Amino acid sequence: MLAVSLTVMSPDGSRFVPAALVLGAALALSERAWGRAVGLPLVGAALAVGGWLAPLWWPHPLVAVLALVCSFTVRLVACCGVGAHLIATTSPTALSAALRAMRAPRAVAVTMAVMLRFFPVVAHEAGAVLDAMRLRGLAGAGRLARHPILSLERFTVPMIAASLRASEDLSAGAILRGLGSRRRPTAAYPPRLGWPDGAVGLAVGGLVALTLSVPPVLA
Amino acid sequence: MSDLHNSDGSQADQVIVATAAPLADSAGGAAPTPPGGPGLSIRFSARDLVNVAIFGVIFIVVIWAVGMLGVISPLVWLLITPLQIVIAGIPFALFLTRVKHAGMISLFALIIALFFLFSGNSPISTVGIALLGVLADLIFTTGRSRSKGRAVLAYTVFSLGFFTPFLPLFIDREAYFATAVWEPMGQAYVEATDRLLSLPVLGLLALAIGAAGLAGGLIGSATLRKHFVRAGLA
Amino acid sequence: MIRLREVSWTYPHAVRPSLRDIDLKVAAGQLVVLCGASGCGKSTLLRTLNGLIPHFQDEGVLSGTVSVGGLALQRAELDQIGLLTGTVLQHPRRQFFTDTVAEELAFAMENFGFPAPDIRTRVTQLSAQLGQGGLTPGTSLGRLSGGWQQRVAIAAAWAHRPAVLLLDEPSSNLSAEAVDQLAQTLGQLKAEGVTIVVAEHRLRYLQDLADRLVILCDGAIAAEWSAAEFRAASDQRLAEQGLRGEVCPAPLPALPATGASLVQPWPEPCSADPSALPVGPSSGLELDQVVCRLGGRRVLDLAQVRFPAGQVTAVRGVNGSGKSTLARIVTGLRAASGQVKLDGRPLSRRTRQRISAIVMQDVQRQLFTDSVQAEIELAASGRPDSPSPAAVLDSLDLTDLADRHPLSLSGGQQQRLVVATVRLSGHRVVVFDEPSSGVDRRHLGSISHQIRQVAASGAVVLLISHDEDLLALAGDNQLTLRPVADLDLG
Repeated sequence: MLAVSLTVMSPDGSRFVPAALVLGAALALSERAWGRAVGLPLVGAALAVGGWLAPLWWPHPLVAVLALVCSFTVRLVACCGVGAHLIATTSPTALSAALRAMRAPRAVAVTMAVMLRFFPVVAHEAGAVLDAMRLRGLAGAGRLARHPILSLERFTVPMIAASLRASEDLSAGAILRGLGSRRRPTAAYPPRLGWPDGAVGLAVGGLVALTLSVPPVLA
Repeated sequence: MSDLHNSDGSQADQVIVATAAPLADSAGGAAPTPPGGPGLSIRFSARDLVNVAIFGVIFIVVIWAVGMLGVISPLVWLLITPLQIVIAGIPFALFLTRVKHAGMISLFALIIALFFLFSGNSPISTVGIALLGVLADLIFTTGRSRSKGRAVLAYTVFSLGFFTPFLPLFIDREAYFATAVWEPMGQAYVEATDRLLSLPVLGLLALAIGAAGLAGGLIGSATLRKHFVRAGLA
Repeated sequence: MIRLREVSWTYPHAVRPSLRDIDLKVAAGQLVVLCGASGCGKSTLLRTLNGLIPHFQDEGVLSGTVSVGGLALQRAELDQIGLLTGTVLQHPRRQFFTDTVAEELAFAMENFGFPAPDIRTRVTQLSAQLGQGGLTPGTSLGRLSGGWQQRVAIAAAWAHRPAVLLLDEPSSNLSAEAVDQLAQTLGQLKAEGVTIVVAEHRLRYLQDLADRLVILCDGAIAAEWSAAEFRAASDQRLAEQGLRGEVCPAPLPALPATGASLVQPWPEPCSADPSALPVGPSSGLELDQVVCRLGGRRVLDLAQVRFPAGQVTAVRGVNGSGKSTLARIVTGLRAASGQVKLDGRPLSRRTRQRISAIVMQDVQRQLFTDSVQAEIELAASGRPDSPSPAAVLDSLDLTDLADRHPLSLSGGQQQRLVVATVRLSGHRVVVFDEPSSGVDRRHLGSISHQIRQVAASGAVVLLISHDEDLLALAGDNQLTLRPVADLDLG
């Protein structure tokens, strides 16, 4: 599963966008993340309208730039869909084992695994700081427009302080249990491609073939 | 480095006053000098890796959170990228206080670049961010002292990485204009749009991003003084 | 096994050393308890034994020698020490690194490079031991109750068979049954010959396990008791040393309420009579048919409950019973079906956000400015009717700190500052989320005084806490929640 996710991560050219969107939605379905399964195609469609149809209605250079940005964002959204699956289903253990299997250097493998673990922590702290700002009446759009830097400083500083504190136990515990050690780590269950990967691989192959055989209408 | 077996009783009996190296010290500190000369070792300790990871995550979450503002208030939408650069200067400045030796900023940049690659950035941009990180690393860690000026300059250079995602927009342009959508619009119109995205505009954008990076570096170092040093975090 | 000689440690920026001239010897296979009032240095001492001091601290001064199993810790690297010692920090949930039980158990062995077949055997063996309670290796760590998290954390720290196991206040945040279970687990480990050091302030459960009790006071060893002396000591004698024997649940009348989230049957059925409440029928905050779902699962279901104004309602319940969800609904941070009314008037989410406040567990999240004074002024701005900032600062003993950076204050001071901002902005609904965790226990009285003051000003106060001592001091009545959709392991 992981290997497949990694290889399709940066599809080049917008002709692969519909395929990536379908893949992202399908992966979301496989883990029962209904919100993402529905949202992904919707956002994709909306951006496609902005990117390719808007210039038809109102031909103006500025709109064209906007359209360019939209068509660029749609690729991003498509990739995020697949990336979200990676973050939601991969545990730090699995990721670092996979990276090691791919012979990534120790520094990169360890750092990526730690990042994967820290993401929910920092996101949670960021959410809590936003909550606190809302309750103190510091998060309004008007305030933000008047003092953008000050408002963002008031978000960033507590967020960093709280994240550092929250990460302390985590990193202390992990380092004591040998995380980042210079010893050669092993994997209890070495990552192997199984039949689900085969199935996904086939499906992706199908999507790519379909994309290539259909004449580029949009792309 | 050392192994389990070289610890015998005589060593245990020695009275050692261990002081962790203050941050301003260059690489090594009390530890034996690693091979490769001081300041240029890239043997990261577990602590270094964890620090890079946590600040990488904070950096990305800050960028993402500022990006979200665009959804709340359309007023901010046009200012998003410069604002992201300016605000991300705050975690970067604090990160620099945890940099103990060369290589950490490069690793930080590499990780950020890989993350953005996974979330749909182009390969050109990924390489660009990583290279700018190495450059920032050289700027920050080669001097004898870690001055504030070097920190600001390092961030300015690193922030140019925000410009790299725009590169494909210009490189890919031919392909974009060749698509079917543009055919009914006429040559003149295509040329007008083409001009809007021309080289001078590209230069201007790079300049604006560089300026935002400078502002971010300054704000980062100001915030460091205003908050983190006084709070005992830096 | 463990030997400390003249160990002193001073934290960076600290004026006085946190540990002073500690001499300690622990023989192999012993279980030693480090105890003393909060702030006495028992956790700090534990951190010198696993090398987090000095290796995880950026500055600070350590003198003397610490050796574990013959290894001089100041010279060793953290992973070397980690191979020799297993550590369970105070909050098991915060130190889990992976997603599932099996991965967590394998984590240390994988990092230390144990051969894969050995890891698999050991994980199977450990999960079989844990599994007697119905735990499976694939269980997600986030869905475990506090007691189970603690057991998994201990198993994960012990999986690579270190000679020494260190535990920091393992019984805090555990229910009575979970504490019994913990004692059993420690007994098994001791029988296997593991050397165990426990830092703890709640002592009775260790009575039959401990070989020795080391009482710390102000960073120095004040007394050492043998196992016999410890068993003979009365609770009163323990209290003189700032220690606690047994902890009994605070007797609080239950608030009349209905809903699937409530623990049934009532602990005290007689108090479920609405007329027992001293306030009028419509005063206070009322929840009507409030149901909150998360990903299709019901996380909170309260058909009817009224939190009286001017009183402190203790909200209790195990992990995952919806306590923080309730707090987020009441303060308007989360949407839920049903109605929330104040004094009989329904409130929108936005209004609730405006009139309510939370004092969070990690108060750093809600300190926004660069000085105590500025924080107070920010809270007072735009509310002409609020009490004078100087008076509030004075009553909370913060006047001397007015120029300090809020993040540089101690946990208790930060908390008082947040309480000050809450009082200045005159909120009608105030939630305290675990206010006594991370705060020096000697300040329990002052925390409960703060909470009572907020209630005395006429606000509806919800106090979420596991701390029975605090609940006994500050609570007026209680609401005990339970998980609606049964978790894997309640």
